[in-house]
Amino acid sequence: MRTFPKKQLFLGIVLLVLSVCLHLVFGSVSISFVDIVNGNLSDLDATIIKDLRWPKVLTSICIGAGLSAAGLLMQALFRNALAGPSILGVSSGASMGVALFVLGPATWWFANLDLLWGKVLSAFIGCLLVMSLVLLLTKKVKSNIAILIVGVMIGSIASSLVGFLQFISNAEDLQSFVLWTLGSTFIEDSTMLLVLMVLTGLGVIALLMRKNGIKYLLLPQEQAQLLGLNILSLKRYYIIVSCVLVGVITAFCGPIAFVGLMVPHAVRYLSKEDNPSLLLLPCVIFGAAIMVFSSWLASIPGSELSVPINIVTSMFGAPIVILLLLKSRWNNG
Amino acid sequence: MANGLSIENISLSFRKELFANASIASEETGMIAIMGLNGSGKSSLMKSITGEQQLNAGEIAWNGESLTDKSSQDIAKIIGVSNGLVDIDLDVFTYVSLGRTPFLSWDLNLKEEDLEELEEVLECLSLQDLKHQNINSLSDGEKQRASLAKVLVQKTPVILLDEPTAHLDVKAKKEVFQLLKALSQNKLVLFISHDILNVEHYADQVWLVQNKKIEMLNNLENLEQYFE
Repeated sequence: MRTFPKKQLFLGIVLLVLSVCLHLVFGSVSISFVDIVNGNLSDLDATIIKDLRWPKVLTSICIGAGLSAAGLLMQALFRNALAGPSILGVSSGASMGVALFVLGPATWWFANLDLLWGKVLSAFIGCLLVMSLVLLLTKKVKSNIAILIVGVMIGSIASSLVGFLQFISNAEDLQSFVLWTLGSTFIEDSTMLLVLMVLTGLGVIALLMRKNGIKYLLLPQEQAQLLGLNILSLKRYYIIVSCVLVGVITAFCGPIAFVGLMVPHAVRYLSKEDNPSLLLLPCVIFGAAIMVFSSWLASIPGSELSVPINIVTSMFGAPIVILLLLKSRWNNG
Repeated sequence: MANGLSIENISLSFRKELFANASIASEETGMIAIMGLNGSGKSSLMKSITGEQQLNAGEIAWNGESLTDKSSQDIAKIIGVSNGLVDIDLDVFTYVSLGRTPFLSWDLNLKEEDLEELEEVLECLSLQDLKHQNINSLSDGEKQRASLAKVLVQKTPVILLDEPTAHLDVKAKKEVFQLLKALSQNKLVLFISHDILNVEHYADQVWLVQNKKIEMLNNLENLEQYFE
């Protein structure tokens, strides 16, 4: 049985391990790798590693793995190179939820919740709302392009609502919301980090368990049915799991740009592999590696400063997507 | 009830009335060409057999068992459909492997016996050298072969093909017809065709779709007379 070229998979794992080491060792202060391994750390260094750098590494792994898997799925679902979590309107749905909570009336609904949990819950609800709407419409709309347009339109509605809420909100709420939209790989609360890890892990495993079905998404629906496959139920499975992944990650970390779009293209380019079923695992590993590396860059090693993660992913992600598109066969008309 | 494919008293309206109380039956094996003018209902007949098109009345059965109540998975174990000139962004091996779908479990993993089946069919249709190539990079004749390979690994007793030789050159056409002829020794091969000369030469029988009925022609000489 053909599997993904082992060489590339090995490369992905090496990159991931290297990025994790970089992130742990170099930051605002450098901490010796040997000391980290031996546990031979001062109290301050131990706190930095345990409470700052490991949470960032683990969060980045979740973001990279989850969004890359969801991105690959969406590109196959819509047979469109430009599909990604943000295209389906799922990310916008999450933003709308958060905006409603931070800037608008939802604050009163969840008045007992603190800001972070409130954001998580409202982003998740926003995602589910958009997801259900897109799902409902996929029953009526058969063509993949039409579904894509529906996703973009629903995303636009959500974005306009966000814009309206930003317009009428006060300066303090606006700042808190804008910070969230810039993205973050740092989750302070260890329970929340655990929740993120468990939910992302379950989502990725759910996709890996049915990875062989992804290739059927490339077939016209009638042909899949002629093979005796219930393609609609398979599609629904992938859509729900992808949306849960995007919803949870966006809620915890903000709408992270470009990872979901870039990683599947990069992996496809590296491997020259056409079968998306074989690309899932490499996407998960490369996605995690690239995200950990981006998070490390965003911490601006050697300085006291750090920049929001989206600045890094957009600055490097967008040119890479353009480069890959120019070089790949997606470019053939 | 007799063995083979039986179509009994079917009626079908789709935009216009295509079949009114039409009936016909086949043997269990053989090579049958479905012919008729454009718009006569040939493709709709095929879709009715696969269950894609719901009939207004009547029944289609294989070896005495009605296909109407069967699940799409059960039908896919009886009827394989070759899609001809496929346009899909997959390599040949993966595309051909899709034919094993009706036999796979929930996780859609190919098992050892599926792989053996696959290798055998790829060998038989001389696709071994092409198996890592993208379908879109193949010639039309090779695409037809890949599509046939997919149906062969499905191991169905009935094979349906919609114009399997359209767009093919003379040599590729001959190859496809010879292959279908060989397969029809132990399968029922039903194909839509407008290629009168080759049908006369290769087919065992013609089902002529016209005037809302299906007429069986066993004498295939001078087929042209039926289309005037």
